[in-house]
Amino acid sequence: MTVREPGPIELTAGECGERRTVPSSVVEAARGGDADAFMAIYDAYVTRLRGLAFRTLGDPDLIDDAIQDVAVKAFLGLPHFRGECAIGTWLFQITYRTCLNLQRGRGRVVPLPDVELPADDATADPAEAVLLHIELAAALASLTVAQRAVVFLVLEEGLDHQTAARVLGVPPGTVASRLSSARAALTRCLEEPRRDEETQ
Amino acid sequence: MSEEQDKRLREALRGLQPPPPGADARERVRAAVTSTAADAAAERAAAAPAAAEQPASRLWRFMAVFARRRQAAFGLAALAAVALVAGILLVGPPGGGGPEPVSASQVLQRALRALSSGRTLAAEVTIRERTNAFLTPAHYDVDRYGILLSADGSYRLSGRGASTIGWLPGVRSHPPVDVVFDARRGVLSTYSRKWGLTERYGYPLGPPDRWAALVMEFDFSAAGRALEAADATRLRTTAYEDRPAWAITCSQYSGPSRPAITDEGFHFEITIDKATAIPVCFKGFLYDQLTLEVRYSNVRVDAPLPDRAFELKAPVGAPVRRIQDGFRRAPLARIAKLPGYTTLVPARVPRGYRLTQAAAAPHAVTANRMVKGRKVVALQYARGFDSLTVTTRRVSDPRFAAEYDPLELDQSWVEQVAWPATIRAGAFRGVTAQVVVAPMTTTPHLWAVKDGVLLTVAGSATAEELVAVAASLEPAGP
Repeated sequence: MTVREPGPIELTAGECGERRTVPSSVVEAARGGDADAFMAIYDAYVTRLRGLAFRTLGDPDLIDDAIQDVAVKAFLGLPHFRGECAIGTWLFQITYRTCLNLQRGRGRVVPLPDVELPADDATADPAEAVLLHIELAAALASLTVAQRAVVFLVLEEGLDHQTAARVLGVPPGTVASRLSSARAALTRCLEEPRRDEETQ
Repeated sequence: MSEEQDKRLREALRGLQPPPPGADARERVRAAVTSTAADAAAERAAAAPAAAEQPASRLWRFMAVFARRRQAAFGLAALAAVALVAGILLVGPPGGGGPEPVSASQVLQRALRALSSGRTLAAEVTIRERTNAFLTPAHYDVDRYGILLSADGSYRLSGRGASTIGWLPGVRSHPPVDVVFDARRGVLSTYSRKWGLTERYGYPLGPPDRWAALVMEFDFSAAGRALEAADATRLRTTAYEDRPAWAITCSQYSGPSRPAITDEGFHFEITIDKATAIPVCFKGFLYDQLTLEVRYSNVRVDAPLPDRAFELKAPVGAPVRRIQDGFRRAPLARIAKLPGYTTLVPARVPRGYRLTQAAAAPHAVTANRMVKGRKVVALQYARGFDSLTVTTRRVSDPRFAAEYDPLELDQSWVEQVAWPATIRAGAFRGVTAQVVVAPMTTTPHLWAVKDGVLLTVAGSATAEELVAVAASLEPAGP
């Protein structure tokens, strides 16, 4: 597995369209309160931050608000960012904490599945229908916020456990255990319909 | 898991990407950052040169504290918002009368007693929420609803305008929405001009399956328990809409299984009408800034409800969707005869509870989508507005089901507050259950697994009562 830390990225054009180089001079200008410079950093990372926000929140309607909060927090905090980790790691940290608070604040919001079944279908199991239609989304939804964040950071973003641990504020061992249980749950949810059929 | 499996997962996840940002998202961010930069510059200019770094530091600390506290703030906000309605859920003799209360606790108890005797409630509700605490001047979103409640659990929420806060899942920013839950029929109906009428039949009885109270995002008993556990409450007299009232202020709260949460910045205030002892207003503050307000106006307790209050019909021509959620109400004796189902009936329930409904479902997924089950049996007990739901279901992975809370979304929080209890009698004798009773907006609950059957007991009860119910389960008689 390719391991990398989400620091200032030197990517060639075309490898990943949204990822741009953030020169240190831009970071320094942003630290000094230059809003334009900060927006350059924002543009470089926003796609990945939105990805983390989407995974942790699970609600696309909340992403824009969350990212706005993240941007303001990052802008305010940048003068105090001491470079102990890559700026991308730091932005992931802010995003995760912001989304965690948003998610907790929402309480038990459980979206109603939008699966329509015939009214006279007495035998159909709507839950199964939901799972069939949105199998992977349901599998993700079955994970905890922390597990979903680990899945995003390690499986999707390719961060090593140490860096993911820094983002999440937990020991690396916790990242490993969360990843393990998340993998198990994802696999279970993805394969369960077949297993149910076998047992019935 | 192999690299190959990880690769398959990554590829699958790649198909679930977030939608593109809103058209004005970047401009909004830029405006917020620019505004923040201007505020910070103004603070720096106002500060002494020698302390030029201080204002930004204080501001950042404030932001950091707010971010950290937001969980508590919203938790309290939610619980206190519901406390206004929630009072009717808590048991006790009717309020009023007796000596003048002299402490917050006495007032709270009086309010809970007064409301607990109610059988119906009608009111207008206005919710104001400060949605972005980082920007000034403060901006509040406002939702307005008419609410009708009945002691059998039925309710009707009538949107008085487009919802901007989105307290009702799935209806944010849509035109006015009506939501009706008919508890007796187990039918949840929603109507909006945009989406038409949706009727969900066979709605689950209660937690851990999706339950009607979720639509309101209110957890009545949890709110009551949190208030009971609240520390540092203060009492003062005040006026509410020209009527004498009490105001109870809480600056922190703690509970039996969760460490005290201190919050120097957040506090909330509940206003209680003196004449009726009915809670009528909740306000949440962060550093003296109002963050959330829930006002109940024109509150009528035990007034006759309109005919067909819990019916919802769509205008002619409106689209109608019907969804079957699979929980079939039936007499307990009939459910007990279903082959393959584990029908366990508690011999003991907390004082005042009585069995009101039983249902069976061939399949169900818990509301937090953590546990899939088969052959689900749900029994619901009621005590006024309190409810207690006992469920059993077969699970394909008992170890997984034993480990993960089937009710809560936030498992990391559960890990902090759940505690084990050994069930010493009944069908689950010798099994260690996990108990979650904490002063957050969670329904008190217990879960345990034995022989591939997941048991849950959830509702308005103390931890001891939950364990006692679990320890009294026996197979239903013929």
